[in-house]
Amino acid sequence: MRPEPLLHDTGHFLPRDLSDQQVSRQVFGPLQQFPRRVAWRWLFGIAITLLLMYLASATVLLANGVGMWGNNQPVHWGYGILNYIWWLGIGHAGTFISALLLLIERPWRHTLNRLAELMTLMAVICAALYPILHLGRPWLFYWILPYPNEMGLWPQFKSPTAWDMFAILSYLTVSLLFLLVGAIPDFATARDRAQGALRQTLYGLMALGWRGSQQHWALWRSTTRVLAMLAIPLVFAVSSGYSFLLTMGPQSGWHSTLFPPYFVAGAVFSGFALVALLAIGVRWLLHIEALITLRHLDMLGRLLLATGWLTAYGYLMDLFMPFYSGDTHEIEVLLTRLSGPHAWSFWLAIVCNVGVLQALWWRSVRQRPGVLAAVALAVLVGMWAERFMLVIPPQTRDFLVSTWGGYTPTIWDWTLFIGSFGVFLLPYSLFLRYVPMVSAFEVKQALHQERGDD
Amino acid sequence: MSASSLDFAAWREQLAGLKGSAYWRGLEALAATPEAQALIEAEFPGAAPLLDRRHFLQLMAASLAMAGLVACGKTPEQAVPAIRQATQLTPGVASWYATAIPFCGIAQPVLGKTLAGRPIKLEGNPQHPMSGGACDAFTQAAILQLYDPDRSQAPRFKGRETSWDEVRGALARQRLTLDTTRGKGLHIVCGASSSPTLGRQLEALRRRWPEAQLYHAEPFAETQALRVSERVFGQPLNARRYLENAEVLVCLEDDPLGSGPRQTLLQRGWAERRRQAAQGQGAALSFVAESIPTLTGAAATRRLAIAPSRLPDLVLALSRALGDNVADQPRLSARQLDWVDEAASALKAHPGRGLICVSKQAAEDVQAQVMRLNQRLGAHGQTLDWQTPTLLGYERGQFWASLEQLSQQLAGGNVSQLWLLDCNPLHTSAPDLGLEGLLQKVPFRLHAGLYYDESAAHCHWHLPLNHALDGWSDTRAADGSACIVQPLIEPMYSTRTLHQIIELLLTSADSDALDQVRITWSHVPQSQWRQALADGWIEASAPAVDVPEAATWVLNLIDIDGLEAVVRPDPCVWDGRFANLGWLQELPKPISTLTWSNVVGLSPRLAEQVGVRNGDGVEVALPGQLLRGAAWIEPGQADQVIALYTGYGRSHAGRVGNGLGYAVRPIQSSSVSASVRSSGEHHTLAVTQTHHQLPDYEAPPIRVVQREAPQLPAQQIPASLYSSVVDSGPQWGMVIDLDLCTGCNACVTACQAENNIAVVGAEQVANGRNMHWLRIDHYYQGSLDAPRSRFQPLPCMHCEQAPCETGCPVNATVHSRDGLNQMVYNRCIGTRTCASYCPYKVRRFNWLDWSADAAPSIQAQRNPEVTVRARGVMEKCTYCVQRISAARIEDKQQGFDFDTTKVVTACQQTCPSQAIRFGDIADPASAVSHARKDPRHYRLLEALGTRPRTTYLARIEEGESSDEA
Repeated sequence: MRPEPLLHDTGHFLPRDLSDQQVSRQVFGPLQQFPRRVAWRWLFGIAITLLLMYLASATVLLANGVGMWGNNQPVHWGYGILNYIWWLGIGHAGTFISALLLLIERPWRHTLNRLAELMTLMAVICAALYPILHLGRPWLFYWILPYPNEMGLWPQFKSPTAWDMFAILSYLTVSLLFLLVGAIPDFATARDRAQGALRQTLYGLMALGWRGSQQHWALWRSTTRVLAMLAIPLVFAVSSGYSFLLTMGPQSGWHSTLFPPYFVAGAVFSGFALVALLAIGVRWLLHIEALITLRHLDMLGRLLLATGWLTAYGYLMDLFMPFYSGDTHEIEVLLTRLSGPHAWSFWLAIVCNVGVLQALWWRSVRQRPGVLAAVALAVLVGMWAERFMLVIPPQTRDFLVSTWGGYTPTIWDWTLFIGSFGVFLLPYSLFLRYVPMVSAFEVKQALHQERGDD
Repeated sequence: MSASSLDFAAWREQLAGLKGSAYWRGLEALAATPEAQALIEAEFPGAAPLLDRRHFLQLMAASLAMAGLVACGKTPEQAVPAIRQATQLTPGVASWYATAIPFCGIAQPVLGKTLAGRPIKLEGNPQHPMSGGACDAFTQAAILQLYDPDRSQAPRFKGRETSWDEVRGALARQRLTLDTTRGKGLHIVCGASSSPTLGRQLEALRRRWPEAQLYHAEPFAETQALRVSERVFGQPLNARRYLENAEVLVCLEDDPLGSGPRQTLLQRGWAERRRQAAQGQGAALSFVAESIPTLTGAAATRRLAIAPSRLPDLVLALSRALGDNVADQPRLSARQLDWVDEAASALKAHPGRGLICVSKQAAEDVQAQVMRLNQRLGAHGQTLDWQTPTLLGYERGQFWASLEQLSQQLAGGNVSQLWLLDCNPLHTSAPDLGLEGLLQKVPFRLHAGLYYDESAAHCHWHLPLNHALDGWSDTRAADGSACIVQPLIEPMYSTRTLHQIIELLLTSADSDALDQVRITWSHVPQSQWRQALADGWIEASAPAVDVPEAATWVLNLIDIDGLEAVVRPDPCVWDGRFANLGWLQELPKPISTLTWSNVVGLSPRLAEQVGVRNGDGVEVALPGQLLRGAAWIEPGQADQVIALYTGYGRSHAGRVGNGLGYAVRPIQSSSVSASVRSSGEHHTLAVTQTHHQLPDYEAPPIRVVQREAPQLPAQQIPASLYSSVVDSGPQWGMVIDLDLCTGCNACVTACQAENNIAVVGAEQVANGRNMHWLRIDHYYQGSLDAPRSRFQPLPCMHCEQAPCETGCPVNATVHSRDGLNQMVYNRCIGTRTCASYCPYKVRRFNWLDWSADAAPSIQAQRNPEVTVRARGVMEKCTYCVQRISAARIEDKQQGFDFDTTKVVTACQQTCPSQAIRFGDIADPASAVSHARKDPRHYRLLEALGTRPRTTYLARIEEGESSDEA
């Protein structure tokens, strides 16, 4: 008998007596027989409606130009950049949960990592579409890529916009790899359990010929660890990257060294909020309350609270710095954030991200799925308001008073944003049906380790 | 190829029938017409009938070649270019022709640039003393009017298009009647004109039909001033003001620097005075008393906001202060008297160097007394002299009649024929004349004008006139010199000049337009005539007239209790004659920066009383007119005054100008009693600048120095790790002297014309998407009720350390070796990072496709040397890089070193104040280098370390004096 591991304790999270068969049934069962078909159909219907809305808005946009949006002079960057930052921020939590917690060996992540990784993938795609649609001439977006061409033209590597392109692309690649590699053993199980040649073939392709040999496991283990090590710095690089989009310009209210850490905290914070929401949803939809337990939700609540305070520290510093600098224009921009025409965004962010968040100090809140979902939703709204507050009001108060202006998003700004949830939800609802939403083999492994039966 | 075989005019007539979106794509579309067949036969004999493969290909090639002709025009053969050049037209090489654009009958001498036979840009005629190479916004926009697709293109009878043959027939019948009645019943209404040819023709007309009556129909005309001068001096005389000599300028409700036919001249004089004062040669003081804020008021040393009804009191007080023996007591407040005392003592301190200007609409006694005061001050011969009127219809004792008299004649049923020549009285006359109704009784009504306008719609016949740039005429400039209006292109549509139309009436002959002008100048030999065409004028300035001593006038004080309305011409569309020009509609009105509409101006206090904010609807009642418009709060306006602007509310201006703003007709006096109330509506107004307060920063955008010590503290420019971009060859830079800028907008329109800048419309301007590369920022300083106005033209700064260049991910904005911040449209993908990073916000984005669906004629106007920008790309001021390249290439071809002084940007060229200097800052001898060493020199937002190449000279203020409410 080994000594009880201090850090590897899963006992609080999963029922000790959960058998392998039960885990497999819970995870792979829905691939054959979905437990809540009606609810799923509703979800799918909503997703497809939103996606159509997105496609229609994008078509109108592409046909007429970005003038369909509310952007103007001086607010050259409106919802295109704002929603890009918001979606990309959300994407970070998935990688954080999967990669960082994997490296520091937190076994409770095993029930959450798959759904978080899928969320990351879709959020990054939602985000990545935005800068393209935001372009004046979107059909030429590939000019940002460094590809050899007869004109001998390369991207301008000093531009943070170019950095963004690299950041998104590498992030997308790494998260996709991480997701696919991480799920190989589960795809193999799905292949083995699948009925029908088509499913067998498709799952078989995803499983890459996985047979579960010792060599396979050894390779798999080192690959996932390497990918995780690649992914962690990317979390920081990408959110710092898009903060550079703002900070590299001379604009007061943007030009701040605080932004990179501030944005990382905000990104992970908003991501955890969506992970919490998804975990609650998936848990109910797939009927896997035994795998995603209240303790998991409790943990997510704590993380949310912790990253929320990091973000709040960012707010505090962002408020303090202009006054500390004494720069008249910095103070003016700050006061516009606090009391200008878009002051609602600042106060909404404070209320949601700082105020409502404090409910999570109570375990009863954290462990009640409905209430936690409400708080998470508030955080998502609050983070969107925060992105708004960071991106828009400084542009309306530029250096020369003569160029001060306002900003009102148009109906097309809204339809595209609301529609982007369709881009997220439609694939996600299909994942629910066709992808093992929990990393079954890792859960089993953790259970075995916990019980000490090798 | 003779003009008759290539009958473009006939095709134009055919095309004139096409309306709206039925644009035609080229001459192929017309190939079926007999004319086109004839052309093809003439050009390619034998091609048309035999269509074998070989001939078919030839024909195709021909039709393609002719399709290209759409892009070309034809310069009249008799036109003489201003600059000697090869006789043959070389594609891509510009020709320059001197001509003149009449505005309110007064010539604006210009040089017109044509490329491939198409006029594309107007510049002031540097040889003409009235222009000196500068011109105003209206003149800059004349080129757009030439190409306006809504210009009237064919004669009409009762609204339906007809042919000139029909017109000739109808006029022949009328002539028979007129011959029998000796012209009785013929009443001719004319817009202001100074054309010697028109004068000669009208003289002939009156000799033949002595009973014919002539009328003036020009709104805001100088009739009143001329009538007064006739009473004071015994003959009608026109004042010529020399602001360059006026060390003390006192303006009473007059706006010499604002829009108007003499703006260029007066502004040049004003700037010259300030320039000399800045060098320590004499003073440059101005005292302005006015009811509504104007450019002259903005430039004033001391400004006084006062109701127009107090003008007689003000003149009375001024007369007393200047020692004139007048009995009455002025009813003025202590502050108003202070202003008078200060103005009077300044005038006395500068004997012979003072000038008092008064509104030409002011009461007779006020104007007469001002004439006397000027004489007393010794202004004559120094700051003022007198000339016989240049405009037609103001001969001594024989002024043409006014529209009131026409109204009486119409009411009396004495009018059997009414001719409205180059005027639109149904839009511009006072409504109490009731012309609309009275007109209907006249059996024969004829209108000749550029547009099928409101007056045309009320006439049986409408005859389209040529534009000044496509028809021969002559006109006189403000100094009385005569200019030949030389067309730059053959008539674009089936139009005639006014001279041809009068000849048609008199003789039924379809005369040649040039012949009519040449007859007037038949005493000039042909060689001299050709020289005159090349120079742009044929007769030098008129001599000054000696005037007798004027007597003191008794001033009648005006009693208006309560509110009074002032009606002014709109600074951008005047009386509405420019309403269909997108450039001028979108030109921000000075001070308010409003576009696309007129407003009802109220002082902050009055707005508070009425309970309205900017854009709220108000109803204004003045005698005979009730109008509803959008309120606009004008800080600095007199509290008793409601400011109304003409030129809007048009129904027949064209597709651009119809249905904008509210209609108000000019009034007969300087103000009338009126009332205003809120109507509860709200209007969206398109302003280009929503905030106007001059910030109280350490480094405000507009810096001011005192006259006694015109120096700014040295600027601290943050150090940079990067080397300055100065490399080799010329380094371009621009210095704008804020002491000389009046905010007149001429540069903005010049930039628009030169650089194919798109017009986006009211809705997009309201969205903050106006496209001007050069904008004029306006700031208020001081109290809400009596603020000072400051202007700052802002083109691209061409920063040496440009933030925009860092931002662009695709290298679409880069720095050139000669210091230009360049925009590569082809490479731009529209991330807008550059604009987000630009601290001056001078970059403009093509949010939608602004340019593609322009009418073909508007496309023909575009400068072929400047790319027309597509949707989704960024654009901005280039320092007119096409002009830089053209000058460099020319020097290189001729084997010279690049003479950088030859490069003149469009804004610099047209600025009447010459406030803009441009050139090579690496050359220590250049004007721009000198300006950069001026102690008033500063960089905008220097603390950002952008090292802008466009820099400013601070404005000079006089002492500590402030404005008075």
